[in-house]
Amino acid sequence: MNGKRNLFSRNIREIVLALMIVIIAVAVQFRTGGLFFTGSNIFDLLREASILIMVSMGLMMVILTGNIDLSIGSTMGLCGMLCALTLKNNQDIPLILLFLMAAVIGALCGFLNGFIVARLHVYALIATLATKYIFRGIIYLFSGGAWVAQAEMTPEFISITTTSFLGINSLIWFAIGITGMSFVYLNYTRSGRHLFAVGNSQSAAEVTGIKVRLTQIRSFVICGVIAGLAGLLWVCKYGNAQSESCDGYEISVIASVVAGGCSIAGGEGSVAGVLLGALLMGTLNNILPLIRVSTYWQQAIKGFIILISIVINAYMQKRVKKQELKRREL
Amino acid sequence: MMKHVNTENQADSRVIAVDRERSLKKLLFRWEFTIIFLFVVINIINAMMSKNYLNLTNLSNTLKMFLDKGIIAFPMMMVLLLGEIDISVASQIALTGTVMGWCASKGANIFVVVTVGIALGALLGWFNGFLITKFTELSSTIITLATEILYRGLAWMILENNAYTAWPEAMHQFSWGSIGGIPIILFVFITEILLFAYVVHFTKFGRSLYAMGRNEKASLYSGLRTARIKRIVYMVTGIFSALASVFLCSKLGSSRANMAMNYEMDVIAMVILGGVSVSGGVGNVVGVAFSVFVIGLLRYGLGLINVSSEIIMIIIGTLLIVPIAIPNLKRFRAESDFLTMLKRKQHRGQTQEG
Repeated sequence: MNGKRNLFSRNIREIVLALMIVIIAVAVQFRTGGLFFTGSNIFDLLREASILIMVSMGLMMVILTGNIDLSIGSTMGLCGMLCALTLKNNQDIPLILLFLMAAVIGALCGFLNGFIVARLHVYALIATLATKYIFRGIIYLFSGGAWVAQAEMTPEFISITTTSFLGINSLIWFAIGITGMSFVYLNYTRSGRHLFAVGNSQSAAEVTGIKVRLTQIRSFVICGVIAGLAGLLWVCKYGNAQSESCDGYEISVIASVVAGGCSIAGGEGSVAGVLLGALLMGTLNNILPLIRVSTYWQQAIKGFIILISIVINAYMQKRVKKQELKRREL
Repeated sequence: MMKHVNTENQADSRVIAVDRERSLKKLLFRWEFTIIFLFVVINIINAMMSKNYLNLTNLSNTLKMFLDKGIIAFPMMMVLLLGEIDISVASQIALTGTVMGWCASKGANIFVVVTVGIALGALLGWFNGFLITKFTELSSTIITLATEILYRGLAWMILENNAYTAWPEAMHQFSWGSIGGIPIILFVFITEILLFAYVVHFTKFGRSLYAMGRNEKASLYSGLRTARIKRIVYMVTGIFSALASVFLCSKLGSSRANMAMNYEMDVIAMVILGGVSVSGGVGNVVGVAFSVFVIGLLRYGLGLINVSSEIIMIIIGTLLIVPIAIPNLKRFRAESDFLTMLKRKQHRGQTQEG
């Protein structure tokens, strides 16, 4: 009985999130007369949400160490644009090389962020606010403000996101892969656990012999790599690379990570929570057109959700602390 | 006479002399002087680039371009002095601008429009402060990030993709009018500098900001009402964002939901370049006042030599990092000293052999 209650209270955030998604989905199902729970709509929702899920996993790594990455949208745009330009100029480049390129550029961006934050001791918020604009400026430098259109890309490249395997779209497979890898990394590897340790208490982590700065840089690099791959897939999915693509995407990503129960102070969060948070955002994006709400409302709704979820998180943390104090007194 | 001089006193005076020398050196190497130096250099370069630069009409036009950002720099400095941050200022401008536009489109006169705008700004700022003081375990970063998204989202909700362009006649005067050849916005800005210099440096309230930035808990226990001060500072930020919004709307002649995009970066860059520490408790009004001009004139000068706005974006971004990173370089060098690493490895090898 006690074990059950523990299991419930430990995962209460995830359960609440899942319930929220279900309630919203059921309400919309009744409201629209059965438009939501159709096979094609569910797959569409997952396909639309898959890039968000991937990038949320990346940002979670950074937030776990107590930092934040605002440059994630610009990193995605930069990797997408550079890969698209490469593809435009060399039509016969193997696709695997493009993916490798996206990952390497993303890793470089992430390393730059990590270096500034961890070694030069600039606050993550300010450092990544600056690199957000620096990366965006670099995109314009390379593109000259022009688009790379679908006609300039090879059909094989475009078909990456439209093919499906076992009846499931490849984008969803990418999301599943990244989520699975993050789950294993964060729960079953030493360097993954170090992220939690650093986020909980830097000084304690340093005393126990964890290389704090290296861990922080590593989290930024992982985030950058995932953002780079996501940027490439973004170009694939939408069939064009613009200078301003993914601008402001970090808002959605932060919303889903924070809604998923990650503490912004670091050291707290789970892959399942972030996955549900991203799915909640995906569901909202999916249902707003279904219930005929203007898309201009999306940002306000996102902001509201972020605010509510961080406030709820703060309340829950307070309660947990109180309970722990009570237990100790007993 | 010399005989009577006490040796102790002599030693004291020597110490004082050394101290004075040091403090003079310190004064000369203070960040504010670097900023003033930069200010002079940028002005000279700009004047060399274009013969018309020092022309009075040109100068006043240049000032109109960036002083609306400068208006928010001082309240933002107060926020940073507390060791907090407010990244929702740009969204506050957008939302207050939208609501003012709505009022104007309903036929309200200029006083009503501006009053509504400033009241709304105060409300938005107060809401930030309320959340930050109510949920102390949440950092101001995430709260103002959330309200940034929320406020801008509300502006989108009200305006969608439209614009309000029906302003009262007098609105135009705020940005474009001038008194005796000097633009109104410059008057407002200078008044603001004097006001903030007085409040921050010569009042109890201002000094308590520094105390709170250094150690908030200690200030609380020594009797400062920290929560109240924080709320006031955020409210002031909201009020001045609304004021900046008045000037921006007047400059643009319309209000849109996407106006004042990325303003927060410029404003924070101005404050940080002005020598204000992000961790709180360090900085003064003089530095910020000059750095407002440095960044504004730098933008203008880069525009003169045809540097594209994207590269200006990169340069401003770098300016955001460099002033913080430079003082930390020593720490970085100490941490990553290659020689000490080698020595440690050698030492380890020796102990293993032994």
